[in-house]
Amino acid sequence: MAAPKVAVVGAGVIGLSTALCIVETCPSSSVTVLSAQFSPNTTSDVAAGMLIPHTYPGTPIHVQKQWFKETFTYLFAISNSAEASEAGIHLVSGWQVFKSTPKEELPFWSDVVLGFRPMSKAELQKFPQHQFGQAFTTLKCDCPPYLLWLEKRLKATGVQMHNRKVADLWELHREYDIVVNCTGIGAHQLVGDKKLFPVRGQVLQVHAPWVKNFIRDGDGLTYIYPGIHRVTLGGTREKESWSLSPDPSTTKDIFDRCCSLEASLQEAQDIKVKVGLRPSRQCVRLQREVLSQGGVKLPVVHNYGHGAGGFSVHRGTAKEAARLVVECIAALQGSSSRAKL
Amino acid sequence: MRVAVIGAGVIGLSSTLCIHEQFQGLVPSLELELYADRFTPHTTSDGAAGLWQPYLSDGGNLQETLWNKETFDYLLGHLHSPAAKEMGLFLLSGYNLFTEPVPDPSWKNIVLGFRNLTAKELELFPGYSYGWFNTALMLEGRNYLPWLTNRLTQRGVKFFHRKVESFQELFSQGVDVVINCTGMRSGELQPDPELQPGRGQVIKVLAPWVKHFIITHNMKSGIYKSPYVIPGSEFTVLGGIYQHGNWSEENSAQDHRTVWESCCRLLPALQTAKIVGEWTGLRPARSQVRLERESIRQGNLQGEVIHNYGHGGFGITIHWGCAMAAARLFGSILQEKRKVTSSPQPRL
Repeated sequence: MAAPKVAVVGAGVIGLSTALCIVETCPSSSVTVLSAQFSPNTTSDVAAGMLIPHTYPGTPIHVQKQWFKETFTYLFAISNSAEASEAGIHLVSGWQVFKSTPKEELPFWSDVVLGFRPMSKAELQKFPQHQFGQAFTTLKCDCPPYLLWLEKRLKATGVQMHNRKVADLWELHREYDIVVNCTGIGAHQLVGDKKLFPVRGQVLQVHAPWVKNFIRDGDGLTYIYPGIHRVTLGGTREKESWSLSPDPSTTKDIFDRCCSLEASLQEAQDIKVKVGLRPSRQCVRLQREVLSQGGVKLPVVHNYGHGAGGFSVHRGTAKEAARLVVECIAALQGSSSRAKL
Repeated sequence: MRVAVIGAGVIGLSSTLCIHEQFQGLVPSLELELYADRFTPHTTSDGAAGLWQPYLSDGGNLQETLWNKETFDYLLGHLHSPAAKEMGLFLLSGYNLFTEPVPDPSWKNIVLGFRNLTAKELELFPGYSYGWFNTALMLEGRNYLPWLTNRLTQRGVKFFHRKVESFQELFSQGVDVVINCTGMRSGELQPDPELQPGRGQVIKVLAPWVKHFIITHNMKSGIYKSPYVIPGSEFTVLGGIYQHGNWSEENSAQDHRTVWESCCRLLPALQTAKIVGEWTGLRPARSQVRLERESIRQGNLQGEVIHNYGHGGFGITIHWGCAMAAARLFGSILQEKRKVTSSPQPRL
């Protein structure tokens, strides 16, 4: 089959990185990105983009670790290159602190991030309400820069990007040979996945350029992540909430919680409030499916449901999705050659 | 009791504050005055990046190591105060890089989380095979000096914008004690062959993605002659110049190229950073800090001088420990004066 036509639906970090992996893996394919939203209006744009993995209960740990490692290695190389500032990738060091010592003192990713070690007593003195902590250095992907950089690289390889709301994957079967579904929370409606649910996150993006280290409470609810121009203060984890409107009392609560971790944030300026719906699932849906109607088949590769961990595993899952696309192409070529007999 | 401080860099201002804090209550007649021909933002302290980090080796000078520690602990204690941002005080983590293993520094237990770099971290810095990671403090002169000035003004300290030509000039005006914090130009008040300029030149850039300090070391060339990158709250400082004996305060095109090229090699992304300024300063270098009393007598003019200068490239790092030592010396002067005034005068 000459130049298989692949449609990637979704232009958040998953859609764009998957499109890029497909181009890298199958250079002969013709890839188009279709999305109702592009940066700066995707869920990814609200995320701080910190490489600190979220644990998926339904995925084997060694797989999650592999995804994270691939993502970390990929971004590490960019952060070390001349493109780092354009891509929005930078190293950041800091602390994850716990009010009581966690059961698991060594998370599965501790040997992937840099310099992971328990915090010293002197370091913990800065957090009188916390008993235990971990210090490490990791990477941060700032959005919009990272998404814009991915878009630029895609356009350079000839990938077309169209602003288009896809109401039904089947509507693409005439124009495309394979569809890759990276619609994040949109998959709830698009493919009717009832296992996918939103976990609402509200964050504040503030001007506080003297904050150079990240601080995260091990409960995952309170965090301070310094980005290139703004510091992201978070957050909330509201299961099944679909509201994209900022809540003022939540804003005050987030601000107070973050100030108790870092007092100087009282002086933060120009507070912007954002909301994102984490596309959450027991495990990432990363699998092939063949849709068929009236004898016509449409191969689909799903890559959605990354919840709170999208940035941390995006490259790893994108590469896996690209491998599944290769399998789809092979299957199509197999069946088309059979059809010629 | 009239006390005149000469010099309005970090040493002069902090010595004044320390003395006022400790003695204002005890000595109601205390009048503190500060004389300088350069005030913030035109002092040497204003150009420094503001990173707390002593030199690699203390040269056996335990006294200076203690002063460094006192300063770090004092600043750490202020980190959570509402004044921290106004002071220009914040935590900063980062890297010290070497081409060979080196002994741990005297300050390894003063800073937070000191450790060696892992092999993976060293991959970030080709050409360097050994290094340290730690969390230290930044104290930006451009914020700290105005903050100190405000505190002093609130306390009623009087400021005089003028160049003092001699200690005698102040004694003849009725000043009892002079605190000499004249940094690089101390030699103009009293010749000191041990005090030499350590000329430095830095480039200020906008590189807000840099969140760590990175200081490289070339053990053969010496301190600050190897590239360094220090991110501040508004801009990032690129440096790596130390020229002993060079008094020029002009920016040099060659030094600019040296700093720019070596820092871009260290951090390739800096190539896209926008340059917003350039600055040359003279580190008041000396084999050790001169922090001692001297009784000056000329004709019928007499007075006590407390010298507090020669802090090289570690003025901010050591300032509070020295201010407290200067205050202690001042205390002993007060003690002596009280003994003199309280002992019975023979009546002839």
